[in-house]
Amino acid sequence: MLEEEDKLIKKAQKGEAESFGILYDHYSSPIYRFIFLKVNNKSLAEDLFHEVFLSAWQNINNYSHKGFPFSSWLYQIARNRVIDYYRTKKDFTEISDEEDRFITLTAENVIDHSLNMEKIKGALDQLSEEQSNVIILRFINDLSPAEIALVLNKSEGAVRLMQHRAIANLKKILNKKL
Amino acid sequence: MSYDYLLEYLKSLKSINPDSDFLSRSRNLILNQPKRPAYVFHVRNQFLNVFKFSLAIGLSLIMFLSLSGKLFPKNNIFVASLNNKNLIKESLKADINIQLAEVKYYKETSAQVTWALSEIINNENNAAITRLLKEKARENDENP
Repeated sequence: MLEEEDKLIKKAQKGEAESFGILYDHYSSPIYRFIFLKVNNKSLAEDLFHEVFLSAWQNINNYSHKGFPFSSWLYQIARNRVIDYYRTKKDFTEISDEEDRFITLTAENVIDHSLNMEKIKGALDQLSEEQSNVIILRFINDLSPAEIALVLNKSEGAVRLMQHRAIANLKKILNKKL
Repeated sequence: MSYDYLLEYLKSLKSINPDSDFLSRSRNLILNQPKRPAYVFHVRNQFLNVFKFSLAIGLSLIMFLSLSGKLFPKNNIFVASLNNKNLIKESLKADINIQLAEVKYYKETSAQVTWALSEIINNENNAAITRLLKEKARENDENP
C-alpha cells in the first residue's frame, strides 16, 4: 500500500490530478500485468488498462475506504472491464503475434524468461477465469488471500480453496507440456 | 513439477510491465480529462442514502402492521399462525372436540354392534335348529 494513500485519494476526490497521478504511477504495473495476462495481447491490454484508469479517475468519488483497499477497487474495475470485453467480443480468437506481445524484460535471463512465460501463459489460459485470477493476483501480483477475496467478492476460505485447485490444475497442465 | 519450481515459473511473469511511452501518454490523457464534479456524486449518494432509509422504514412499517393484524384481515391464516396463544387455544379445543366425537361414536356404535351380534347369534341358532329338524325328518323318512 502506498504511503499516505488515504490523503492522496482524498485530494484526488477533490480534483487534484497530480495526486491521482501518484496513485496511477504506483498501481499501473500490477494492473497492467493483470489485464495483459487475462487478454494476452499487448495493444488490447493497453486499451483496457487506459479505460480502467480513466474510469477510476472519473469515478474516484464513488470510492470510500471502509476497509476496502484502493488496489482492490482498481482490480475490481479491471476485472469487470475484462469480463465486459469477453462478453461483447463474441468472436474471440486469439492470434499469436509476437510483435504484439511486447514485454519489458530485465537484461538477464531473457531467453529463459520468454520460454517460461510462454509456457505459463499458455497454461493460465487453460484454467477457469476465477482460477487464473487467483493465480495472477496471488503469485504474480502478490496480493494476500484477504485482498483477493475482496477483489473477487468471495470469502477468504473460498479463495484459499480456489488457489489450491488452481495450483493443482496448473501443475497438471505444465507437466503435460514439459 | 515441484511447487517451488512452479512458483519460480510464476514469479517470472512479474517482469511483464507496460511500455513507459504508453504509460506517460495514457497518464497525460487521463489526467487531462475533466473529472465529474464532486457535487454530482454527493447528490447521488445523498439520494441513495435517503432511498435506502425510506425503504428500510417502509419495510419495517409493513412488517409491523402485518404482525399487528391491521394490514391484513384477522382471519388471515398467516397472521393467525403468528399468534402463539391462539394456536395453543385452537390445538386444545381441537383435541377436546376429537375426544368428544370419539366418545359419541363409541356410544352409538357399541349399541349397534351389540344388536348386530345378537342378531347373528339368533340367526345362527335358528339356522342350526332348522338344519337339525331337516336332518331328523330325513332320518324318519329313510327309517319309518
